[in-house]
Amino acid sequence: MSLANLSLPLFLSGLAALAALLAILQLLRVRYQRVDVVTTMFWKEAIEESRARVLLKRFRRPSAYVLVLAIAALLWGALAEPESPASDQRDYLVLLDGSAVMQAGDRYAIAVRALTDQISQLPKAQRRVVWCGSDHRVLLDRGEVSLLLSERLKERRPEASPASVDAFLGEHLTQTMRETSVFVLGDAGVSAATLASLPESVTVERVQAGKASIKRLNNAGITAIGVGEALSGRYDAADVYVRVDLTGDVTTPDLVLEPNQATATELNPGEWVFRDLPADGSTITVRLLASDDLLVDNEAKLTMPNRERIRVRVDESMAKLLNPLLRIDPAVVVVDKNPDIVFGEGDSMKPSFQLVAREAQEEAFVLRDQWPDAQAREAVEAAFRQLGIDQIDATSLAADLATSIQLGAETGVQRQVHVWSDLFSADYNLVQSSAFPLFIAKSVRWLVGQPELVSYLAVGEVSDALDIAGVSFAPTQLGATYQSADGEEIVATLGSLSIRAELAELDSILGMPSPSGHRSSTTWLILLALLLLLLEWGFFQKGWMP
Amino acid sequence: MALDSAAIFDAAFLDSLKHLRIVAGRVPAGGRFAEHRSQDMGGGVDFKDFRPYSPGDDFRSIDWNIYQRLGKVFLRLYEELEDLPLYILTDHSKSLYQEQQPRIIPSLRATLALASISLNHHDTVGVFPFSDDVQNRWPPQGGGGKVMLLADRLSTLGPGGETNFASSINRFNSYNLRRGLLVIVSDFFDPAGLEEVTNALKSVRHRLLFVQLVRTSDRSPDLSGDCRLVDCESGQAEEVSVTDRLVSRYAEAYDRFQNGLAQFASKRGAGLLQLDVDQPVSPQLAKLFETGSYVV
Repeated sequence: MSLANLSLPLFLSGLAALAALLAILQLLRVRYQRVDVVTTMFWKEAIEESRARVLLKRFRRPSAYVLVLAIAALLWGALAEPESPASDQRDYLVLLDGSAVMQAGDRYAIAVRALTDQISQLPKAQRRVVWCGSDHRVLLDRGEVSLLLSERLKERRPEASPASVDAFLGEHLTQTMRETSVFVLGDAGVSAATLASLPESVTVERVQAGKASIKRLNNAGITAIGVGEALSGRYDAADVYVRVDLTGDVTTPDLVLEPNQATATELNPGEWVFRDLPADGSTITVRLLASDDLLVDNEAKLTMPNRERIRVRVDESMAKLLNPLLRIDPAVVVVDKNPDIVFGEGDSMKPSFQLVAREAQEEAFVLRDQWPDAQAREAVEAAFRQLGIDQIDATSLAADLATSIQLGAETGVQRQVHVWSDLFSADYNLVQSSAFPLFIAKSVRWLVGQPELVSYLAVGEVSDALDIAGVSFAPTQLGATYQSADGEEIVATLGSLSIRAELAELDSILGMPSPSGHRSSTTWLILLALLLLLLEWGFFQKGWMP
Repeated sequence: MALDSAAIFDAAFLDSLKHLRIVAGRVPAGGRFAEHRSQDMGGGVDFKDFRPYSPGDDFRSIDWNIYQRLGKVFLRLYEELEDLPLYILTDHSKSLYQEQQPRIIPSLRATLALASISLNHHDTVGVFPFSDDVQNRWPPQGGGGKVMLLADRLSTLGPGGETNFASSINRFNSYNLRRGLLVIVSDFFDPAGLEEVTNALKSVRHRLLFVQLVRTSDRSPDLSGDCRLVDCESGQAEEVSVTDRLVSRYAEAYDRFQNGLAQFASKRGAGLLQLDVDQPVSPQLAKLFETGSYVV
């Protein structure tokens, strides 16, 4: 037997306090009936030996005190909620599915009702209730009263997140040594692989909470959204791609974009694109105009990349050669002041493209950057590829220069490109080659450090290991956030439906069991206290109680 | 508050007085003690002899001491018996007006009954209501036709103050009345205690007859539980938890009081008549005169 609500010392202290309080009340509970008499002469003589009750004299009727104390003790005991533990020592784990699919119809309400109605059947000391939504939260821990569960569920709603019951089982129960019964409330699936990985001491069953009003979802939902380079070539714009999947009996809905109100073009069935949306860092919302069973995936938000045109200053020595190329680059604006990068001799605080004498450096092309200590070679090679160096006919150049064309790397605070000035003379065909404009354009982009637009989100592919072009990616309660290399946070939200895995068929039970041996004595204590109260009332009416 | 005179002296009671007078008057007027009249006609009230009581004899002459010792009623014979005035001290303290059946009614009836007998014999009667002091409500006077007048005077009596035998007796003594028979009609519940009562009575030079107003509940009160007992005269309260044991002690205290009063009466040569206030007065008095019996 254990006390669910009170520790033993607290219970005993409370009982002692009740006993003391009732003793005082009993002692003071003297009601005098006034009687007018012709004389008190004889009473005075008689009562000298037996004064009326005073506070410190013993009780006139100890039995009355015992009866009242018994009533108080029973009620105090009921408050402590004593219960005998189940005969087994199993853990009972209830997983409440809070994923997006539970939003459909009344399935969530049904699951919650079943949970609150049946949780008392499980012994307090051995049960836990865990929320499985976008994260895992303990709603009711071992030893806590079921009233807390109702309070904690008040603000809970199904979330726009994948089902996470499978993930919880995989993370927490595959290594357990304890006998555990898991009850799943909701529609979340459990993969066959996860089920197979659980030890034999763990059983997983799905509680049939009731008949949901919606059995099969008719749903249209956005399952992927991404940003890519604008097909128009605009540097300061981006194209947004959207994938829409249909389930059940629904027609393809229309898409709307906010705030821009642009029109989507369907590239393939279910694949749409919004062209030339401003890459200004604003948040766009794509919404499906659909009336279906699940609304959580009818909307997706994305924060657009912030792409301003690159300000370039060109020294006179290179202006004649480079200005025509730079002016036609949509990503570049040629300026005299406040440049982002400099072609020519720049100050050390700005990234720059410099022509150097052949004697000044051994290699024809040298890149300066804060290279990482580890994997520096790979980084350098990647950078050269990014500049399109591999497109340059190095053989021809080498022949012209009568020397080998080498690539080098140096460490520097700012990014710089150093090229032999000889290569920029008309004597050599670097300038004439078709790779030269690409080389200049790529150099501009490399010097300023702009990431490529390859960001996207998709259902079922959300992973904190995702890395796109050096951009870290982490899932959140709402979907995912991007964090660019310079720390800028880009938020994208997306509802999701299910995990992409082979699901196992769980054993189904009608309700959570009541383990043998588990008994709560609270109700009996209260009934007994009421019975004694009736008895006390009867005694009082008969004048047997003071 | 004065009680309704019709309630005190109703027609039935007044009628019973006639019977009482007849009973008491069976002895020929002036001849009650003729055969024992002394030739030595001294002044004052001098004891002469005893003779057995006969129904109709003047109760004033009953020797209570002899009854105490021998269990028989005898008359004390005096030379000037017909001149033995009757004085009645009637208790009208607050306590007599309490209770559902107030004791004042039997008190006044007993007073009138005894007075009427003497008045009928053309004897001098004085009635002095008392509580914390004495009123000279009916100065000593004779005359048989004055019974109704006395009744009328008594019916206007209202509640007095707290019982105080000491001051009342002192006041009465100060009247310096001719020696006679002093009848005290009272419950004798003086807050000062029995000792104060008896001490005060010791100073009385008249013959004494106590008519004690009693009822069953005086000894066996019907109380239970926790009570606040309030003395209706003094207002003092006693808080008691009534138990069987306490009631037993109460009865013992009451018995001590009764015994003390009886012992004093015996020592003093006084008579003690216990008048049950819940029973008709005249039959109880008639029983005294007819059989010569009384309850001590």
